[in-house]
Amino acid sequence: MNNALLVSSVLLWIVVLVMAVVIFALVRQIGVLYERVAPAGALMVNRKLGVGQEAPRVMAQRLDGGTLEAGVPAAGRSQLLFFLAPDCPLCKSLLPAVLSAARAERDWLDLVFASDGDTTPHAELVRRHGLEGFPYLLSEVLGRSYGVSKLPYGVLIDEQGRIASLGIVNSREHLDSLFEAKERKVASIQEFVGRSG
Amino acid sequence: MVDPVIALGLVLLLGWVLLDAGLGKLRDVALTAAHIDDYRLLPDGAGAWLARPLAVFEVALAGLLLLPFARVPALLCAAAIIGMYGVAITVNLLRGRRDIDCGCGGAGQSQRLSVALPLRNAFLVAAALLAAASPGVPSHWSGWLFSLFCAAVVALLYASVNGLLANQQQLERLR
Repeated sequence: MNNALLVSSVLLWIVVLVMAVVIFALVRQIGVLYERVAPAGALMVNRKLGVGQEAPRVMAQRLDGGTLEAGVPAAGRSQLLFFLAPDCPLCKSLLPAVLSAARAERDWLDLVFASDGDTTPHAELVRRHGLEGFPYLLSEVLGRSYGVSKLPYGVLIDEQGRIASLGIVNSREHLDSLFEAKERKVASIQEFVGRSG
Repeated sequence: MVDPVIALGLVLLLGWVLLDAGLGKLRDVALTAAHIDDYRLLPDGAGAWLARPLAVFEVALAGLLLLPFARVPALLCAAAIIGMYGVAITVNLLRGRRDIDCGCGGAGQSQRLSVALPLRNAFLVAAALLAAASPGVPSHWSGWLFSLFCAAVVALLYASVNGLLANQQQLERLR
């Protein structure tokens, strides 16, 4: 009798364990779905600007002194405005990907960092992540003109000074999707999926 | 205080939680440092030198929990460190800074602060204290087996609850 109880108890534990594994697997799958489905490309959540529009020209203060007019790419080149903040962990974790993308695409693309607020934390961020080679703008008007509500945010401006693509950038894939969207001349990956589907 | 089977189960559970947390932090030390700084409880830049030792300490605690002579002190340390995280989260919740990443899931899993997190930590602290108050190991092999089952099931449910919390926030973002 005792033996039978032990065996049944072990069997029940195994069943409970398997069910716990199944529950965990389901939760993981739902998590993966949320990650993949919603922002398939850099997510478009901009009510202010659209692809193809003239990029707002904003004269902004550079962190290292001087000024730079954002929204005006150099002749024959494109400009990537990358909006970030020193107190945004995701922005920091994405910086290596942004820098490597800027290096890989340097024959047609100029990377410009944009943020606002007090200079000290920004200077620290620039020093720690080696952003010295790129213009770093501090302007509240800039963020507002481009309708940036969430960070990290990327705006790709084409050779004609028009917005080629824009959106929240949460991963290297999102960043690449900005370039992809420009190349394919679609506003966002969502639009591309909608068009081909 | 509680049966050795349950006490050992709790020890194994805490060992798994600490190991998972420590390895998660080690996987992306820079991000962990950013998380620590984000809590704004320590002087600026403290995260950079605290991230790695903290992660190594968590992994070491997980190992020490399995050694019979180190079990009770390791459990008390685990209760202290998990309790400390709980306090840090509560302070930031009270400051209204819900939008920072809790840094609980290690790299790759972002979760903003919520009331569920201090409650979860309170559960873990209670588990550690209960296990510390109940030394001894199961006398029969079946006890060891049940402890293992128990720990595995609770660890999986714990991970599921964490996953659901993260999913819920993803869902809110879509609305």
